[in-house]
Amino acid sequence: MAESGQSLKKKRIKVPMFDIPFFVGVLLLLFIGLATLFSAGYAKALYETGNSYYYITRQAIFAVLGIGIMLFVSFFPYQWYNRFIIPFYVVSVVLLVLVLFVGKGTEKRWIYIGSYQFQPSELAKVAVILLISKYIAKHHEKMHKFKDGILIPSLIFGICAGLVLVETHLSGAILIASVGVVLIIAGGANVLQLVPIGLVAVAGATTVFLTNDYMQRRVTTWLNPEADPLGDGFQPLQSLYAIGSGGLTGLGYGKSRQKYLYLPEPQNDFIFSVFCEEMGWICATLVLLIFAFLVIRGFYIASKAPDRFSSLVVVGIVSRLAIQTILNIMVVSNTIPVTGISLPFFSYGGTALVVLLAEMGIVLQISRYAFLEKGGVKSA
Amino acid sequence: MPKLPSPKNKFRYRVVCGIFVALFLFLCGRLFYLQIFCHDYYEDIALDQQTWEVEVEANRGAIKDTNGVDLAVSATAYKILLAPSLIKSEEDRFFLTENISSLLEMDYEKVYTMASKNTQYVEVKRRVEKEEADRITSFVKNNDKYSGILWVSEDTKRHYPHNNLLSTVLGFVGSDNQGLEGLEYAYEDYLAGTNGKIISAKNAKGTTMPFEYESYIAAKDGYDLYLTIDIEMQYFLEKHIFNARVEHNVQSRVAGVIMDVKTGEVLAMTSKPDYDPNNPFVITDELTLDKLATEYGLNTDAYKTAYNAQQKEFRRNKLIVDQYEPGSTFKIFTSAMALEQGLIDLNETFYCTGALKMDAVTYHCHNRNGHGTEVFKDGLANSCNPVFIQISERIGIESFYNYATLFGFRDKTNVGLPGEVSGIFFNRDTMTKYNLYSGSFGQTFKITGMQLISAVSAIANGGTYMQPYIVKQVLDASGNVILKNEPKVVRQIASSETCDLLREYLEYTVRKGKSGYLEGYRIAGKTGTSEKLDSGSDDKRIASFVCFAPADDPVVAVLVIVDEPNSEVQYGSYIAAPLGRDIMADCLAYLNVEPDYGESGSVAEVKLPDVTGKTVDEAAAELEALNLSVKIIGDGDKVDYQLPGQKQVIYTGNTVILYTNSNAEEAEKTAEVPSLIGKTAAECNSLLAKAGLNIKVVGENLNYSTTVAVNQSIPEGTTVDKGTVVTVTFRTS
Repeated sequence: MAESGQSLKKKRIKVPMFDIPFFVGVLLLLFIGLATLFSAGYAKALYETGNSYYYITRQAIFAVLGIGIMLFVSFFPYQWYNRFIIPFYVVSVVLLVLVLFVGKGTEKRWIYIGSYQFQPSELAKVAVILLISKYIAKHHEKMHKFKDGILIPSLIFGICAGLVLVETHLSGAILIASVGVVLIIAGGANVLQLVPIGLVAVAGATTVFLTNDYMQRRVTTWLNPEADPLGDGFQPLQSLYAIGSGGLTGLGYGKSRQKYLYLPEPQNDFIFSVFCEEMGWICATLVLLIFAFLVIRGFYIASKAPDRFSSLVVVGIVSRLAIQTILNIMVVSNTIPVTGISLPFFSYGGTALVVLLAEMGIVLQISRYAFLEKGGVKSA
Repeated sequence: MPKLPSPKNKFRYRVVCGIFVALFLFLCGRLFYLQIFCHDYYEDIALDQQTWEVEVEANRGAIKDTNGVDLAVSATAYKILLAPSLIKSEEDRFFLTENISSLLEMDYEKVYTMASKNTQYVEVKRRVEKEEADRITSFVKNNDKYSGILWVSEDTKRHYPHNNLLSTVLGFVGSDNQGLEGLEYAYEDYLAGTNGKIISAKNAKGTTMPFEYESYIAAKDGYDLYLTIDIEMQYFLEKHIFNARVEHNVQSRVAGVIMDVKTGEVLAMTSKPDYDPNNPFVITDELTLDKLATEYGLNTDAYKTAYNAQQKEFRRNKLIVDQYEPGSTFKIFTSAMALEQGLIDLNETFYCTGALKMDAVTYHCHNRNGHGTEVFKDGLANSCNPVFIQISERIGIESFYNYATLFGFRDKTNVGLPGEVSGIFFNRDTMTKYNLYSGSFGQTFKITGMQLISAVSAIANGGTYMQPYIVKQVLDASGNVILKNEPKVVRQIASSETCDLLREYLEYTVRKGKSGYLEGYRIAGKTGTSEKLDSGSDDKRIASFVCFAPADDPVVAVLVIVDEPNSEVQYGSYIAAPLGRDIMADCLAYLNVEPDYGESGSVAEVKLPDVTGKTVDEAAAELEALNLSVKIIGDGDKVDYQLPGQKQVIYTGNTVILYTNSNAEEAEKTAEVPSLIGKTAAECNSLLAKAGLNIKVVGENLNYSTTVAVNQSIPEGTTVDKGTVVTVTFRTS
């Protein structure tokens, strides 16, 4: 720690540059995402609001705001907010409880402040990453123990995941839990001890599946969406039609036909279906490779991070990005049953985009202190 | 280089990162599978749901006669369209339904169902006439708020400009313009064309959305059908057939067909009563309507049933789909069989007592008193059953069967009309002597009229069976030939010698039978009267006549079949022969076949040689070589005098009188010139021939009945030598 403190000191003086490749990757995905949203949301916006620029205008505003926040965060030394982590976590949990009472609609996910609405689960994801990282950094020597390495950190994400599950926001819960598990493993927990927990989890999931009609139907639909093309199978089928129509090179930008009210949420969860339809397999693969690049670069930054905490924060943020992206694309390609999960950088949603860009800011900020060989400044 | 402050678990980082990258790569593969392998499958389904197609109907090709006269065409009509999804209230829906159903005379419930559909538009009624369409247009004009909800659009409708003409051949179309019967049905693939479509995009709500996806596939119009039918011939055929039906109070139907014997082309064809293909399910025949009304009473159930059965019957092309027993007309073929095999000595005599008992069965001749002694030629002309029974005995079962097959009586003719049947012939293995004997005069088996006319045409043209056909060619809109039928030889069915002899005998038959005979026209033919053995009635007959002309070089063949004439005499010779003769006369006139007033050969001018002083035999041989007939007066052996004299020009077939050196009666030498003014060419020829005089014709259009003699070179009542040429001038009045 002494060494790292010394090097940090040097960097603080120099205010080193953040990792350019990661930054470029983020901007690239953001730009592609906005362009896709413009096309994908065009028809739906026209039909629902009468203004075909409705989604893109709002999203662009949040993107500009998000970039500002990202840059601001990238200058904000992570050590400074260390003390706010626990309060932040507590506030997140309180909000998650609160949303169960004040949330609107059948899915109690949103809190409304005037005309503005946001999802507490978005904050909870960040809070879980920060708190688990902080915990592991502090207790890394006891990580091989079951209680310290698995039980306590599992409680940290388990409380949030549980509350999100109560909102009936299954995908959110899965995302939080997955990120938590990845952090525990990356942080040095005994993997062998995780196996029985994994088995219990599988057993539990099976029980839920066997007893819950709703879950069963989802799985049946997933396995054979064409059995009920106008009912349960509608969403996955329409998505497959869009993706399949795209072919190698796509119908051309703006020429999606499935976005005309066939695809559910073409501006949100199923935005990538529209992208595949318009741009084809080659571009879809390129986008996936940019995502993969960000993930690889993120782990690289993490592995070069100045300390355990910062390293795990980056792992957490990047893993969340990776898991969310993978789950979304698995849903739209009917690889897994449909569950509501948005695509980072692409899907419409102001809060989510701002939070995502803030997280990217944290990664960039940590990259300033990482001992990177390229794109950043190495200590001499 | 300082030690990096890195976490301790780089290996775990690599593993986790590796798993993520692997999942990304897996997803690339998954997308590859969906977008490349399953592309066509998903694209089809997607396009299917994303677009809506409006059909653009192709124009159905026309049917035309051999000269391009329209027989069936696509005419402009209208269709009434309604947009149910735009109807705002239930009140409007009721109002619209009420008005539409009354304006278009449609069922209220049916219209209401259409008005309640949740679709872009429905076709309320198609192929309506302008008058009906105008009713809707003015309704919308008066009820402005329905414009855009109810409207009129153009449509096409099949139209048959000549109504009943050729209807049993043409057939008709159904409500979707699809051919249901006749040529319309048989040539559906050529006539229909391919509908085009406008494909435009729609969203999931079924309304169009602003995006540039619309394509237009033009309709491909149907091809035009050109028939071998000549509308002029069809017209006079139908006129004669229609009249015969009325005249003889025919209980069933009368059919007639005209065929070009050299090519196998069907020139005209009809079965009466028929129907109007513009309204195919309606009986147009007034006699039938009267009869049904008297028999069953109007609008009773029995009336409706009978009406329905009758209108179906009237759509049948009798010559193609109905089988009948040919009766004595088949004797032509029994004769051909025997002549081909040399089974008859033309000079041998047969004896007819009026009946003939063979194997314990007695076969009667139509002449119950018997024809007495007769040679084969007269046996045919007398239509003597016992003669033919004896001949069939010589032919034998095996050979009779084989020849019938050769003549095409066991196969469909494939003339190109739908529903054709092949007749009911004997089974080779079970065919008995009884079948053979009755078969020899055309009873106890059935054929179709088409089979008969095709085989008769072959006899007429020298024995070559031509493929009969009715569709000459199929052309596309630019006149390119899509399909072309040309005269096609199927097989030789008889030798030219047999055919020559049969033509001569059949001409003799018509001449002797008189009722089919027409002076100046060399018609060869045979009548037939068959009992409708399976009708359950002893009185029902089918009278028929088949003929061709001119006998020496036939051009056309005509067959008429009168099914159940209800007159005193039902014989073919009485009913069918005059009908066939009249049709044939019109045919020959139409085809510009010059009448031939001589006895043989075609008409040509001949400059007479001088034969006086020669022996009678020499002179006769010399003149006969010039196709002239010779009449010898007196019993000397040298020619004293000839009439007409040398270097006179007369026609072939005319008679030259040779006076020998012996004494002859003066009365035999001279004749009195008959009155010719006001008579037709045929009549003049006949009168002069009877008087032993010759004719020289001046004038044109001699084959018309309106062309009569206006001048004769030698006045009436003048006594002149036999063989004198009388020049007669004809003029069309």
